[in-house]
Amino acid sequence: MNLLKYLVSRFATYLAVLFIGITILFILPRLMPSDPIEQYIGSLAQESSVALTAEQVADIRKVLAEMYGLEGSMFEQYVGFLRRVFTFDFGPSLSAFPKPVSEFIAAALPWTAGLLATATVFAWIIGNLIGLTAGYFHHSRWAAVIETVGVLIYPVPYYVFAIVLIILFAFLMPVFPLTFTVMPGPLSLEKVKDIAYNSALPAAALVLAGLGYNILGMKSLSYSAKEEDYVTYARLKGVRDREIMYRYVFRNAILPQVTSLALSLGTIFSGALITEMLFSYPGVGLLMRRAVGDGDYNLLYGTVSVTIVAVATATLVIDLIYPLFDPRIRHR
Amino acid sequence: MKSNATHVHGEAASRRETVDISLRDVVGTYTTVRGTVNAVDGVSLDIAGGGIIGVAGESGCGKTTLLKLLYGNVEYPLSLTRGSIRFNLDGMPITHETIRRYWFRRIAYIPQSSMSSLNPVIRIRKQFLDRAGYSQDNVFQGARGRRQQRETLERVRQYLRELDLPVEVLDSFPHQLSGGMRQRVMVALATFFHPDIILADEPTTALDVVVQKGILLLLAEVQEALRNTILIVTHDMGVHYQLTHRMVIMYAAKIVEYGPTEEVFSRPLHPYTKMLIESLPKVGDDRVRQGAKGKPPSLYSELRGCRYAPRCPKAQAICRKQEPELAELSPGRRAACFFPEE
Amino acid sequence: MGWNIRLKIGLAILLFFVVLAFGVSWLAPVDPSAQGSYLPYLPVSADHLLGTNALGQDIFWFLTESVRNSMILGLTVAACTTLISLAVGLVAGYRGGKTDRFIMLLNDSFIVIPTFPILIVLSSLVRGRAGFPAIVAILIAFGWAWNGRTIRSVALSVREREFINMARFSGCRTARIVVQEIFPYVYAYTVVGFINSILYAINIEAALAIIGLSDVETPTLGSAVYWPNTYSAIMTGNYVWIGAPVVAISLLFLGLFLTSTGYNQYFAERRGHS
Repeated sequence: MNLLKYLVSRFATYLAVLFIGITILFILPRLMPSDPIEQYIGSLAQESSVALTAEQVADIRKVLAEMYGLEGSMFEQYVGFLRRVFTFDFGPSLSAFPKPVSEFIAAALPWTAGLLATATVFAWIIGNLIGLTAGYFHHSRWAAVIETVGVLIYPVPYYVFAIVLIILFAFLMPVFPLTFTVMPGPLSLEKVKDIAYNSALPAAALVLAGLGYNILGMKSLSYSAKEEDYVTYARLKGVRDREIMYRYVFRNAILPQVTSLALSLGTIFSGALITEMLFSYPGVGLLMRRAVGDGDYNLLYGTVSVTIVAVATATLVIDLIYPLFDPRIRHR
Repeated sequence: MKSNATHVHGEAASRRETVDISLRDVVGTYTTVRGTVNAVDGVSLDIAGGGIIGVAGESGCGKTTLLKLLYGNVEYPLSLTRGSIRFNLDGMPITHETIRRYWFRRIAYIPQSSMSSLNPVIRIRKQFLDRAGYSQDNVFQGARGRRQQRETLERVRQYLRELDLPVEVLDSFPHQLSGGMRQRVMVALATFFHPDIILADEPTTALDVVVQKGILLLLAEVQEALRNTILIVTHDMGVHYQLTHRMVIMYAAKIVEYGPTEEVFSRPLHPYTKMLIESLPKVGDDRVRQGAKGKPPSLYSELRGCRYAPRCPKAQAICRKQEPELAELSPGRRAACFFPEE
Repeated sequence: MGWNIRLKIGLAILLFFVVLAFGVSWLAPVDPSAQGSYLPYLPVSADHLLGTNALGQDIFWFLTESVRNSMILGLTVAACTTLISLAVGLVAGYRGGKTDRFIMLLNDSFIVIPTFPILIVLSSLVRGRAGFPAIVAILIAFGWAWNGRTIRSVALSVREREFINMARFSGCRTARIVVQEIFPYVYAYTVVGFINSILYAINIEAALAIIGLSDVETPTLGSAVYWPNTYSAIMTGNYVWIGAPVVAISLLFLGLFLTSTGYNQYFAERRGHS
């Protein structure tokens, strides 16, 4: 019964996240004094040399209202907005009219997903392994070294890693390209290698940024798990070190690590977004940035909504996996 | 419950020669930030024959440390700075250095915090399987390893039935069992390989009285069946009275009395023992309980003479200057006092 | 004193930055953000400790004012989020039951929702340049959740203990007990949470500024990286221009982190948990 309650509460959180996040997105522009339609018309009037008649302006306003989803009462707008999000139909991109936003996002999403998944898994596995051994052999000298390294890299933000890597490996020692340039075309072995080559730096930035957290966290958890009574008892039974490290320390220390991974997905995602922007990596982050620059309202909202849904869903997935690790949740 | 069970299981034979435990001037030292302290300060004793031997005394008297030293669980900050501990199992001499090899097979330990001594994420049956000497022939040996596992598990099940423990316990996780059940599992774990010596550290603390009784009975049965030696450390004099055959009383890192439990209770020789026993409530007797004034001396400071002297009503000049030996005042009865009772 | 090495180093670094931000920065001869105050691309010298940049600004003075503005921003956000998280955490932990579950549902939602994209939306609505009051508002609105959860766990664990004492203290006002008994435990976590919030606020604002979506005219640590990045300082070899703020950010964050964990350790040792 515990398991059921757990699953229900996780799902409730998921729905709450979606609801609150989307609602905030909805409310935000309506809090602003500026009206995007007026702004657009204003800039249109500035740029064009032809004066617009009142009729034309009214027409434009109507069309824009429809595209922006700003027609009707507040409630109608809200329902419309929800529908847009959950059908992933955000209308046409305003800067690349009439190409639909969802097409852009569909093209960019695999890039982001690939980069993010690879880097996160890498940082997670390697970081936890390092942390586990460092915490278990707490008194050795290299454990102290690892701790220092972890402390030094953990507070460094994603964008600093990105910039430093760009300076070091794309400029001073031009091993990797400065910006992402992959020739369009069908997928071939050549292309895969090209993608890997171009993605190496952004991936490295993400891994470095995520590593510190895993190392330090796992080290401290591993160390305190080692002090637990059941580890002492296992030692007294004569169980070998390697088994203790895996079966006793790791299996217990990993539990809070999974939880904190779930909680930090928002941070990891945001970090990935800014890294993409700095590397011009063709993912959702770059789309988002361009959308702001171009004033492309639909594209911006599409990307941000997708981000929120993605983070919420990924969190839910991890929450659902957690009982597999912790029998105390699985069984009563 | 079954009693008088004599079975032959797997590794250890049930027929035993006398187990001798011999402690010679054992000093166990802790290194702390405040300096070194001898938690066990010059303990010499010979324990022969089987039975249940209780180690009593208030907190800080050194009984848990003594147990750790006996088991060979000597790791920083604890060290055996002086003396020797020898075991004689079936004529096989073992010192405190070599005892490690026999962990869990010929000598077992039931730790104080059994509530949390079981790995929360592993099923109980796996915790029966992992122990010294087993991992070497472990599952990765393929079919042979798995067969060995199955056979061992079958033996475990059988053993649990003998102890009147439900076999389903094996498939459970620790959090699904009650405190009392977990403690019984700890007892089963400790005794499965029929060790010659079982060291139990406060096995009944934090359990309610009914469950306590069950554990004590279980231990008594086990000892009767295996005819081995159980050393049980507890500050609860009631447990000693119900369960133990012989008793060791410790005070301020030293042994002050030793003898058959019955006698120690009815005719205590050392003033401290007398105080301990008199402070126990008895049914029908509602006199005001007297404790001794003061507390045990700090082990960080220099100590001279009898350590109980500051609190002892019979202390004389010699008690403060010289330390009394743990002398054998009558066969099987020892006390460290210049002026023993009676 | 019992201060561990992390705490010492962390506080030393923070002291350095505080002096820089609130002492030294007021000594700037001209407004650091005014462009063209000096000749551009001047090298490091006694007059210009870090040289000047392509816009004719003194890099050192720009940096010190950046540190000041970032820290003011961080402290403001941290103060507000700490108050909110205290209120939320204490109420949820102490009340328990349905109140707790409801509050935690909200709390966890705010932890999951990524703040950065929301800020991007905000900045786009103000024609690409979000003003500080709005940024601060969003940072506060999203920043209390993590600490709210921490405070709540402390409150929960203390509540378990307090029930026993409460029976004896019957007659003593609940509020007084909450303040006198519970607060010392909460205090340490509050301090740690406060420091972490500073880090969080400065970090996200900087991220926003680097991609040019914050008010980059005002010197902050983020805008100090934005300008050299936009002007391709890397290409023109002006490493000091981009290097100095990058180093400053890393160092400041390191200092905040060390202080935070150092204090955590210090407090744990004081309570006898080392």
